[in-house]
Amino acid sequence: MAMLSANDLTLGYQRQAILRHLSLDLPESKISVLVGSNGCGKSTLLKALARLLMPWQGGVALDGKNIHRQPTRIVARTLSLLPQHPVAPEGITVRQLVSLGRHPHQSWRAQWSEEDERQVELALSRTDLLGAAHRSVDTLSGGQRQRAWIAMAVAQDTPLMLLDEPTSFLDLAHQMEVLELLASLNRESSKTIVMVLHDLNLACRYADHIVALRDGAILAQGTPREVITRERVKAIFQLDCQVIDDPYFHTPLCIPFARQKA
Amino acid sequence: MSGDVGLESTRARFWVAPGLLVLSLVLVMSVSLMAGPQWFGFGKLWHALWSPSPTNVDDLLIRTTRLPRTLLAAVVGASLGVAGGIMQTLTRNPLAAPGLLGVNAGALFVVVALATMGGGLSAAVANLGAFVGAALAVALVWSLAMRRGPTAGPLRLLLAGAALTALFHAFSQALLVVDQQGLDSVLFWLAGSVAGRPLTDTWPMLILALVALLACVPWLRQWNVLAAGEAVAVGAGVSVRRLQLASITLIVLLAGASVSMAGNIAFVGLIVPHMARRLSTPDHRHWLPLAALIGAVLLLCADIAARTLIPPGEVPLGVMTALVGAPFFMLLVRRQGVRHG
Repeated sequence: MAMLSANDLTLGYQRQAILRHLSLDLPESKISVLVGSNGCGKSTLLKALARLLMPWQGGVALDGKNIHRQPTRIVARTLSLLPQHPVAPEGITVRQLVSLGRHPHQSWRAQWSEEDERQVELALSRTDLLGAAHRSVDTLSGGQRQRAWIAMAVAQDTPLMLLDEPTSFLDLAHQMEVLELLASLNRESSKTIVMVLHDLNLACRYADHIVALRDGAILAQGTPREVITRERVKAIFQLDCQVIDDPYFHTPLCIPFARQKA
Repeated sequence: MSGDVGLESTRARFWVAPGLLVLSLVLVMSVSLMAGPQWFGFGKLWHALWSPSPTNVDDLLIRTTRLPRTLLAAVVGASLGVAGGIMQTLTRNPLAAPGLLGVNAGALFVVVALATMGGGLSAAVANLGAFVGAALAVALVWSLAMRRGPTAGPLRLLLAGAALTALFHAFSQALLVVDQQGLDSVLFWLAGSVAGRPLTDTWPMLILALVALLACVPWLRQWNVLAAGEAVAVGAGVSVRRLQLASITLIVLLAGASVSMAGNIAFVGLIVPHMARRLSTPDHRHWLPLAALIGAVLLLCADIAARTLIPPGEVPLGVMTALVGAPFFMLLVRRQGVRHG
């Protein structure tokens, strides 16, 4: 079981609250995507869910228990995280990076085990990086590098994965590659995936559940079809658009017009 | 890096650097015992180490001045190398060194304060004072850096360290200007030296440094994860706050003990970790032990040079390490520029 939820969550940076009394249940074994305009608090919400930020009020619960009250190593066996723009240590190889994901499963007595080895191999093959395992991460292309980071999270072998803008700075082909990989992880290993995405149309295609935020509160949530409508997009992004049915995938397709004059 | 080398040869290569370093450590330690205004042959050295006679002057010289000096240089070099390595991982900054946390400035300030307070400054008091000063400075830096947020961000740590360093140096200078006689007794700390420090004075700090070196072992794997960034480390189940506290404590013990025994020794903490990483892998379990070995070898070499270059005088050790370190550092900056440019 891996149920992640936020309850009456209020937090922010310094004295400014970014999220206010936010409550959210994330559906299990589904892909949830957080969307919203810049500064709406979606990354902050993801960080709070990943226990990177301390709530001022309310809390985050993992399987019904306060995430901050559990040993961080135990939490890391259930929940993995790919932060925004991670930077690999200089000269580290893909295999070494992926191996770091095994950290929560190791201890003083149980050092590197056969299970660790198996999971790293598995993660490398799932992300199609077996051939590049000996290469230094610095030498990889942007798409490969992002796959290497995802492989690290996969090696962590958690039922829940949180990803903060996993497709930013990637070209369209590599964005698709990363999202296909995540979709297959969800399909084949029924992992719960929660991520922040900027591209609304890709979000619609890959998400089972969309959470739209505005000004630190949830504006709407549900299936892409429920959430992404002309009125809602206007409310989320202050953007006028036409939402049509994607002729190919039959998910909502948003065609932006011009920014509304407020 | 990317070449597909057979596992066997990789494994063999893996042991080349540590093996050579252990060998050179033994070699350099022997030379350090033999070299000086008066050179001793290997036979003399062997005799002095394993079957000393209480009346033999050479035996006495080797055992009471050369041996403490050699041990001191080795332990201080190893400690500074490792402390610098931890510091660079903690701040994710390749240019970081223990001095940036205010270790040396704090130590110097307390020594200067003690010296100008009048009365003879005994070695034991100065030793302890320097260590306390180092610890105090780092505690201050830490508390400043922790003011916002649950963990000390690398940048805040470095900024707080820089500010405190400047402040402590200003205090020291003010005290020295007021009381110029104090300058003589603290010159040793300013220039750095491992000479004339009998084991009877240094043994507590020597043991402290050795214990601190061993105490690094349980944290090696967590440093590997931290090197990938704080958020990644939290995600992988590292308690970052506890790791930061442990790292800072170890840096204080290692660098504080070093500065208290040997004064201000520049560049070792900065360049040794780079050499170690170059000879090894980015895995702390591999390169941090190498940093200890390289630091020891480097400081022993510097000390041998310091006492043989201009006989019968001595070049201050801190000057020696700076002479070697500065050009190496510039090379490093140039290389990095090429790599990232």
